[in-house]
Amino acid sequence: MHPTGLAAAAGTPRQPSKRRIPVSQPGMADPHQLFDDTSSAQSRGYGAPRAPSGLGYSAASTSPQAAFLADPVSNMAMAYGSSLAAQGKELVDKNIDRFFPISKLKYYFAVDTMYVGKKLGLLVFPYMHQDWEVQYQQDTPVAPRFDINAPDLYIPAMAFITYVLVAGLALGTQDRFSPDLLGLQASSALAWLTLEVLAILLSLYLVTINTDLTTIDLVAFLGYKYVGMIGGVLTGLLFGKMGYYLVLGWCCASIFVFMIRTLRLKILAEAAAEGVPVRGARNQLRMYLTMAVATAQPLLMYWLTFRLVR
Amino acid sequence: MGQFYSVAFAGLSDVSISQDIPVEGEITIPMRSHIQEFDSSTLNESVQNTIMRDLKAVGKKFMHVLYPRKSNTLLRDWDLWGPLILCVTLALMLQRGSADSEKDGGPQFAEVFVIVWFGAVTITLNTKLLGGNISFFQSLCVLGYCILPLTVAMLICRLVLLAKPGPVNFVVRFFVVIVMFAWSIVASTAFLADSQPPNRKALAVYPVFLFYFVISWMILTFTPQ
Repeated sequence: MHPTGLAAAAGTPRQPSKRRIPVSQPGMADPHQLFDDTSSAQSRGYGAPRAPSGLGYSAASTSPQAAFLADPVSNMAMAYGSSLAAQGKELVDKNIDRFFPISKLKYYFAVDTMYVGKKLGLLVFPYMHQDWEVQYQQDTPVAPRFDINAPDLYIPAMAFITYVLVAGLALGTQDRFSPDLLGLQASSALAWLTLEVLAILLSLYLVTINTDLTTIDLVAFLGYKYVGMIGGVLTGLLFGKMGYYLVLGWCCASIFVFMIRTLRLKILAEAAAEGVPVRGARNQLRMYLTMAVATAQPLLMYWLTFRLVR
Repeated sequence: MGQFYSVAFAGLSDVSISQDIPVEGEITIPMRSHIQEFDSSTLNESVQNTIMRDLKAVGKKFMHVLYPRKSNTLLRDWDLWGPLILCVTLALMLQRGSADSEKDGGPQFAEVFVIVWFGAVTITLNTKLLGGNISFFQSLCVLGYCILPLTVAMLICRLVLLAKPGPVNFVVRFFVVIVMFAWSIVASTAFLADSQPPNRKALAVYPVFLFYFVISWMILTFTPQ
């Protein structure tokens, strides 16, 4: 090894090999690798072959645009502008994350087709399912893909949109359709959902229950009733009022059982969840709250759909 | 083996860069032609050139939609001109001829726009939340371009409606709309489904199905009175 090379590389014995690498590049094919550590401002002066020398004075010999970009002031302006844009984007992301926690939302959309199929089956027929407990993995609940008991937001969101479209379809067959009715249906269903969520949150606060039932969880559970509503309205369109009442009745009963079994684990204390009736005013209050929430579901299902089927 | 190496590279051990051999030459940065083009040519070219280039890009993407193969052209250089042209054409064709069209139940121009763009944004949000690796505008581009078969269906329906109305008329229109609806879904699935893992493709395709169903419904229930 060359002694001067070693002397120059004080303390870093790998320095000589690092210096050799640019020489061995075949024909310096990719200039980007060589000049990666220079600022981007300088690499823009490609229009002029001798960019570093006489920046302002070589403007006459090169094209005006390249000279504009080779000018150091505009280089700095461009660098400042791009850094400002990056800062602005960061600020917007941070503020949006405060109101719409995107990372938390991603958990609720971590589903796959099999989960959706099984969950839809569970919503329509919850009577045989034994274990309603959500599995945990080191303090965080498991993603919905791996556990059928975990709430998700894909089914409620899709069910809501499908309900609005099916309502439009139903009104269309009765010749009462106009496109702004779609918007009206959507906003009224959304308003009812918001009202429900606020009412339940208020009651949970008043009864001072400490649960791990987050707001998004609650929205997910309350959104599951749209599946039954869609089924009812579609059957009503195909088979008339009798079909509508049959299917809606069945879906009302199953969503009632589903809500009771799911909310029992969340709202009631551990002992009561096992099925052992525990005395005490607090547990009774919680039981009443669960029953109230579960009863509100079939009522709302009927209220929002009976006008659509004639 | 060791001796071979020492013989072959023997001469290199006393190569040195001493002071009296000047190192000279030119370090020229080879001109990056595409930055040159980015800087000057698109500003200096004539308007006709710009328009023709954009029109050709839009036309190429139309061809990709009509013959859907698995290719990246729609995704790689997305543009929103095509969706805009298609949306405006569709909305104009869905207008009725009468001047007092207040309560006739047809969509207004702005309503078609809102439905198309709102629907596309919702589908894009859903795809991104499900974990797809496609950007926002790429998805909007694909969904907008795949409205082309339905626009063609609207054209055919308007022509068919010039004949006398009746059940045959309706059956023909129904058939045309169903075929174009299936074509739209196949075309957009060919582009969008690649961005999802295989156990979630159906979940991403379902809202696309709903979206094109709404547009097909609007086309099918159009009557020009």
